[in-house]
Amino acid sequence: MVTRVEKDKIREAYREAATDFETESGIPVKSVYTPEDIEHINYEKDIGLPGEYPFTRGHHARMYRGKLWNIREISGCSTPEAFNKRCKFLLEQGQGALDWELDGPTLYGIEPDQPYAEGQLGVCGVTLHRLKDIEVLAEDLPLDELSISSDSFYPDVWQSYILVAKKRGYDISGLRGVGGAIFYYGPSVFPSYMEWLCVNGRFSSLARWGNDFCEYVLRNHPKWNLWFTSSYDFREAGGNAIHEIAFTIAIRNEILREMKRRGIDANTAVARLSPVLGADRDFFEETAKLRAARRIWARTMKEQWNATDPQAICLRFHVDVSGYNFTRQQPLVNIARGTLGTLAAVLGGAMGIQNPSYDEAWCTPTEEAVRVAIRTQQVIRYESGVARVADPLAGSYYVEWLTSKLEEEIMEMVQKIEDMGGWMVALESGWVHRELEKGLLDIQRRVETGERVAVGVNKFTIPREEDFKPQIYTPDIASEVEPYLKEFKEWKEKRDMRRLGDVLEDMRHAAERKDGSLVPYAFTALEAEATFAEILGVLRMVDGLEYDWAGEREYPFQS
Amino acid sequence: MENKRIKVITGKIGLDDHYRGIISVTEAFRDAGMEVVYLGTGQRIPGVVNTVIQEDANVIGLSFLCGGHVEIMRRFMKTLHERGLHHVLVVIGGVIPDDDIPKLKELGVAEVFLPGIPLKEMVEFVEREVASR
Repeated sequence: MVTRVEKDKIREAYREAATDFETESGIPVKSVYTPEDIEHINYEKDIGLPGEYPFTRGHHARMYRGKLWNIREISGCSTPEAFNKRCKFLLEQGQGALDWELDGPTLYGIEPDQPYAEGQLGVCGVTLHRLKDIEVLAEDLPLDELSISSDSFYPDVWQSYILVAKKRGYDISGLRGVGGAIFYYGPSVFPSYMEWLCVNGRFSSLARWGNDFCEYVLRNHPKWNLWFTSSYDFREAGGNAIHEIAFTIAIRNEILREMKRRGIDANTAVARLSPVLGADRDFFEETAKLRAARRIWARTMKEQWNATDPQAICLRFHVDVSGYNFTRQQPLVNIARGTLGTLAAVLGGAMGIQNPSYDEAWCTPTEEAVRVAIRTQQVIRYESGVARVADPLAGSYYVEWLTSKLEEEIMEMVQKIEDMGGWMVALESGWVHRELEKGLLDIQRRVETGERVAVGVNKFTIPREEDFKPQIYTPDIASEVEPYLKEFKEWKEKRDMRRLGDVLEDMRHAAERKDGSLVPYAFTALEAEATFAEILGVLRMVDGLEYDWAGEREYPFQS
Repeated sequence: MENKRIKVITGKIGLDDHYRGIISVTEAFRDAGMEVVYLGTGQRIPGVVNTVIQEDANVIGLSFLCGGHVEIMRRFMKTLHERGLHHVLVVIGGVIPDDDIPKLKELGVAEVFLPGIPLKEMVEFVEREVASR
C-alpha cells in the first residue's frame, strides 16, 4: 500500500537508464552497431540461406512454414500409471511430443523399496524400475507416431520401450525415440555418479552398454535420435553460453570418435545426434548463440571430420528454456520469463521447445501450471506472427556481430578442451566442474550485490504474506505411490530367480569379455524380469564398484 | 561478531545433484570466516554424521531439491541424536514446500532457507544461533 509519494524516488524512476553493458557470458557490448561491425562477415560464406551450409539461419529452407517447433514440456511425476494420465493430459493440451523425466531413484538405479529412495519416489520425475513399468506408462500411446524423449542415462528404459513396442505389434524400426547418449554429459552435472561415464580414465561398463546401445540404434532405428547432452543443465550449474556450446561440441567429438572406432562413419553418426540446448535470460545472446551453434557444428563437421553429406551436418536441436531463473518469489512473473526464453528459442530456430511452468521453484508442475506454459508457446505460435519468416534477425548488425563473436569464443574453448585430451579428460580432471562452479559463484555474488537484477528477489520485492502462493503438486502417496510399492514388492518375490540369476550372470560374463554388444543380454534380462537396478548393479561390479550405488543392497546371485 | 569458532559440514543427501545452492552457501560461510567442509552430493547419513564427529563441527547445512527432505531429515536427526550430537545446529535449504517447514522444525531443524534468500541472512542466522548455544 502506498503511504507517501517520495519525490526523489519518482525523479529517479523517471530518469533511470540502462546500466548493464555486458552480455551474460561477459562479452562487452556497445550502445549501437553499424555495418562496420560486420565487415568481416561474408553473407555467402558465413550466413547464407536457411537450410543451406553453414546453416546459420536454420535447419530448413522454409523453417516453421515447413513444420512448427514441437511443444515438448519436460514432464514426469509419480508412478507409471499416474504419469500415463499426465501424458494424455499434455497431448490433449496440444503437445505433439512427450518427454519422460525420471525421478532420482530411477536415475541412480535405486530400487523403490530401498531406504535411500524414501520420500523421493515420483517427486522429480516418474519412477520406473522394470519392463512392466514401461508397459503401463506406454499404454494407449501411439508409439508408431509419437516422438518420445527421456533423460534415462542408461538403455534400460529404452530397451524396455522397444520390447513393449514389439509386443504391441509395431514396426520397431519406425520408433521415434529421442535419447540414449546422455550418459556422456551426465557426470558433469551429477558429480556423484562419475561411473555413469568413466572409471579410471576409460569408459565404465555402464558407458560401454550405453555405447553398445548407441551403435545398435544407429544400425537399426533410422528414425531414432541420440539425445546426448542437455546443455541447459550446464547453465543451471553455472556455465554461460560459451561453455554451453563448447561442451556440446566437445561431447559430440567424443561420441564420434567412439562410433568411428566401432566402424560407423561420421556422416552416419552425426546425422542422428541431437542435443538439447538452453535459452537463458539474455535475449539476443541466446538467439545469437543458437545461430552460432549451428554454424560451428556444420563447419567443424566439414573441416575437422571431413563429413560430406550436407544434410547430416546440420545441427538439429531442442531448447529447454532455463528454469533456474524462475523465482520462488512472485511466481506469476515467471510466465514473462518463459515467454522471453521461448521467443529467443524460436528466433534462434529451435525444432522443439520446453518452457518451464511458473511453479518451477515450488514443485513439479501442477496440470494448471503446465497448461499455462503450453499456452504461452501457443500464443507465440499462433498470435505473435513470429513464425512467418525464417531467421528474422539475420542481417541485424548487432545479432550478426554477436553470432560471430560467440563463434570465436566458443571455438577457442572447444580447442582448449581438445588440447586437454577431449571431453572425458576435461571432466575427470575436474576442469569442467571448476569452470561451472566459478560461474555460479560469480552469478550468486552479482545477485547478492544487486548488480544482477532478479526481479522480485533482489529488486521490487514484496512481503511474503502478500505474495501469490501456487497450488503444490505432490504425488499421491496413499493412492499412487504406496499401491505401486506394494505391488512391486510382491512382483519381485514371484519372479523365477533361477532364470534371472542365469541371465544376469550371462550379462556379467559378457561385460567382462570387453567385446561384443551388451544390448542383446539386456533385452534377455529385461524379459526375465530383472529390475533396472539389478542390471546396473551387475555392470557396476564388473568395474569393481559396489553393486548398489547407495551401499544398501548386495548382489542376490552367485558370483 | 563474536569469537566463537564455527565449523560447518555441508553437502547433499539423496538422489539429486542440483548443487548450485549448496555450493553458493558453502562459499558464503567460508567468506564469513567459518571453517567449512563441503562433502559433495550423494552423501549417506552415517558418513555425514561421522564427519561431524571427526571434525568436531557445530553446524550442518544440507540442501534438497527433489523431495525426500522430511524422510531423510527424520532419519538424519535420529542418527545425530543417537550419537549424542544434540548441540549441533542443523540448517537446510532448497526447493521445499511451505507446508513441510513445520514438520522439519519439529524434527529439530533450526531453519529452512528457501530459494532467493540473501546469503547474508543465512550467515547471520548461523552466527547468532551458534553464539546463543
